[in-house]
Amino acid sequence: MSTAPESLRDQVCLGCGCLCDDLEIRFNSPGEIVADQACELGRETLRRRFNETLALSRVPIAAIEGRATTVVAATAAITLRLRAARSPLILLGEVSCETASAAVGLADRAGGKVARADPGESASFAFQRDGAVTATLGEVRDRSDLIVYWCVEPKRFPRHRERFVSDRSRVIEVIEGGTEFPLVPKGFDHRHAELFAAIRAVIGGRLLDTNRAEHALGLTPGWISKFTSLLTNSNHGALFLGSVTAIARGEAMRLVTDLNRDRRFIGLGMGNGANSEGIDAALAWGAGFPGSVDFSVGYPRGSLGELTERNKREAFDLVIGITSGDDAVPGDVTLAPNGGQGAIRVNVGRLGIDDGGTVARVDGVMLPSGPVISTARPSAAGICRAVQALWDAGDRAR
Amino acid sequence: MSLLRIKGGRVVDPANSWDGVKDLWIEDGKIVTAPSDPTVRPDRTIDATGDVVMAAGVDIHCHVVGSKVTSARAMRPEEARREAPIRRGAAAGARSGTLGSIPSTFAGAASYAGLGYATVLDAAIAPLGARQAHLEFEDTPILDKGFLTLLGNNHYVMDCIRDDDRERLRAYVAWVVSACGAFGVKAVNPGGVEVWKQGKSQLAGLDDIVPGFDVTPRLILQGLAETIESLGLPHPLHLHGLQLGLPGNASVTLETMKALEGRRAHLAHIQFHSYAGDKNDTNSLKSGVDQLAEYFNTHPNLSLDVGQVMFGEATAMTADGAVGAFLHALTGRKWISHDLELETGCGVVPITYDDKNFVHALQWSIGLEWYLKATDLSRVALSTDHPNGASFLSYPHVIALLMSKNLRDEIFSTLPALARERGGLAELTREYDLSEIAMITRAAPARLMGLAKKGHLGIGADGDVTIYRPDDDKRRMFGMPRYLIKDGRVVLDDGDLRDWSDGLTLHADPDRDRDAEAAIETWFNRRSTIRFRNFGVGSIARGQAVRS
Repeated sequence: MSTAPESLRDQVCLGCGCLCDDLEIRFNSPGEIVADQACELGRETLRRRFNETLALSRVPIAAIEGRATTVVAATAAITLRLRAARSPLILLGEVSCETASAAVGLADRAGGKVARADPGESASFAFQRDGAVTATLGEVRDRSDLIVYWCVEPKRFPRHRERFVSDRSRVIEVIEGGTEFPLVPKGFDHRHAELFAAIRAVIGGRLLDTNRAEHALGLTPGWISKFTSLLTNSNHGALFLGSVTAIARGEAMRLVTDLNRDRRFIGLGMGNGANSEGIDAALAWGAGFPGSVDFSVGYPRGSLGELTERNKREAFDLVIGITSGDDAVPGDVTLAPNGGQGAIRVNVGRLGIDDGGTVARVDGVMLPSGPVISTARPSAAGICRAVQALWDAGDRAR
Repeated sequence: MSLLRIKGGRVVDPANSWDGVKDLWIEDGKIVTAPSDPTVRPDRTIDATGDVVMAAGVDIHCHVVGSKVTSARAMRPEEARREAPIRRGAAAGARSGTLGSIPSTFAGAASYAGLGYATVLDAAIAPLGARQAHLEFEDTPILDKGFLTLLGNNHYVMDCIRDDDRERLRAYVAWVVSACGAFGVKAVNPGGVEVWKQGKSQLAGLDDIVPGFDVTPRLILQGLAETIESLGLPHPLHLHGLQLGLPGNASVTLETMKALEGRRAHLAHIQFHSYAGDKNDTNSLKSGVDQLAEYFNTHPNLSLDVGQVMFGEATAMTADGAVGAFLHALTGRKWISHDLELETGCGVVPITYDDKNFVHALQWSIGLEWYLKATDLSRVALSTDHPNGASFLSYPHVIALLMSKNLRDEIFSTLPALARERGGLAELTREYDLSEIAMITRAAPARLMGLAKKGHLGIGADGDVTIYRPDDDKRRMFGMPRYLIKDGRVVLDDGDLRDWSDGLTLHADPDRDRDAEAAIETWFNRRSTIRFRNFGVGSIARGQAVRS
């Protein structure tokens, strides 16, 4: 059963990386949710998650080996499994910062590994090599006279321009099939890094045959010099990076850093609704490393890039998959809005619907997300903390 | 009801003008008088005979949580890997973590406790970053903690000051401190960060105009200092002045002290603001402490922490974005710059202080010079501006240097000769005694933070106590206390960390003008990319309001 207020203002949308926090949510009837201000993607995401939540809140909340049980019994069983495991892995899907923090606490106690299910190594590796010159999105809106969307599909971020780009800014798109700065449609992925390096070389005044580079990279004549000219004529620019490789991301951020010698320029990704930045932050503050942390030797060690599909199966004797979102995170134990497929499963609240928690925007700004209705389902963070408490009680009893 | 007796130790408690042997009794977390009934038996007695007993340490200026600290953690895995970690112990709730100059939250808490500290104040959290800071506080056990929020380049603050609208400014500061759950207010390079964010050169002086706002650094710091006093916040304006790190900045620092015109202010990491010389010539750098200390010593409205530089690995992190850019250009090392809308900037750069580098050696010397030339230590707090000048883990080394001229001379003899010539440290013979150490590590920072029940061992004080085993090697003595008692619980028990209970989050609780907040909400929703309703942090886990 759920209870819902008539309307809620300024709710956060998890439909994409914009994390628009100005949604007014209304309930036209007990089964119908409406989000004013939201884009079509946001409305659809909210509607789907809400309807699934209503449907799933009628199935058993916890089960062990297919048999319905209580949350308390499931929590105790998870604690026992974790105690017995020699090499546990906790995989984090779309979860709040609070859940990520609590999961780090479990991995620490159990001597296991905790990792994002989608590790996002490209951003982390580039950041660890060079850092980043960046800003919050309001800085971009208020100051940038040049906006570059690089490999960004606008339809995936419907309100990005409306919310974070000023009408005064010159906006250019670098994308396959684009008009002003087209990229060749096939096989270009691995050449983004070379293109960023070429632009850096021109800006740095190093000798470069731009004609040759343009030919080699499949660009139209004059592409590099025209693009470079736009960058260097800006006073405050912003580069929004879509999906590019780790090496390309690194070169892009170096370009941004270079540009700051003579002007302000910032680089940002587009983010997602899965709280990737927030989970990375929670791992970094609690364990010292983003993305993936291994406690198997009794203290944390960063293990970004070490997790593969194969060693997920072979190197761990217990996998706990946790998500409060749409993604499927497999495990022997699963905490998920649909319960997941684990031998022990708990049907936990869905972030932004019947679970509340903190999520981070791509620029690091943290926002409160939900809940907009209350159900009987426990939160993933609550389950993790309950397991911690049982573990600590066991330690005290020893 | 729990009753703890600390028996027979030498109690060094300068706040209560006490240095001598006596028993301490702690009941339910507070220092109490000895029971009049001789048959009363404590639940536990710690025999401190021959030991030194002090209130637990209080750090008034460090950077331990928040987005810039965690970004630095994420950016510097190589440093975390290089340093020995904190292993998870056997105690219930024990946690492991990484060290280096930017420890993970649990390791940082354990390390502070391991030095006998129980209270820390993070000196720089942007209002927009408050939500993350509180989440990190929830993962920082043992310690009581709070943070200062950054308002020196805040657009609303500058608008109010331009309009000379003190009521509106007062309402805003009260609202933002409350909404963020902040302990107090810091101004970093007031006005100068905004200018840098605009892509212009830094402000040179106190009376330069901030373009677009028609205010000056002088007006900002005066307005904030006055407002904070009028609101009765427990800690005065915490000020990071202009031209941090630049040769010749001592003159603007002196002007800044004067500009306060008797208003209370705490001068943060003064070492970094005490350089004489030509601003265009780093080689001209020399100590500017003399003139500054002379002014400071005669103006009781001012307090300071030093920001001592120690040789080794550190991480520069500051809301003064221009400083980050400067250090990146100087060192070529990786760099985080993160400008925050309407509020402030942020710069993070790894830095290695090298004892063969003249500038670094002089910085080391200038910091010590400050400690030794300050006459009223009740206004001086020990700090390294962790992790900017060094990690807080170097506090025992700083203490040892203050207590021994021989040790200072020994190190000084290995440094570039020019650093001896350009500084005023060599001729200083002063050596701190234990009471003076207790003053700058406990009594003074607690008093300056307005924490009436911390930093001393009088009746009614918090039962936060550190017990040291006397040792000629003061690094060892202060680096390895025998006991830390927090709220009457034995946290560090003969060197073992046994109790990982959560501490409190300390925050201010100013009177608010609710009527004025409607205008703030309107402004905020027009200017910010997040909504007013999503800005405030709500209820604070284990929060404790502090009023002056």
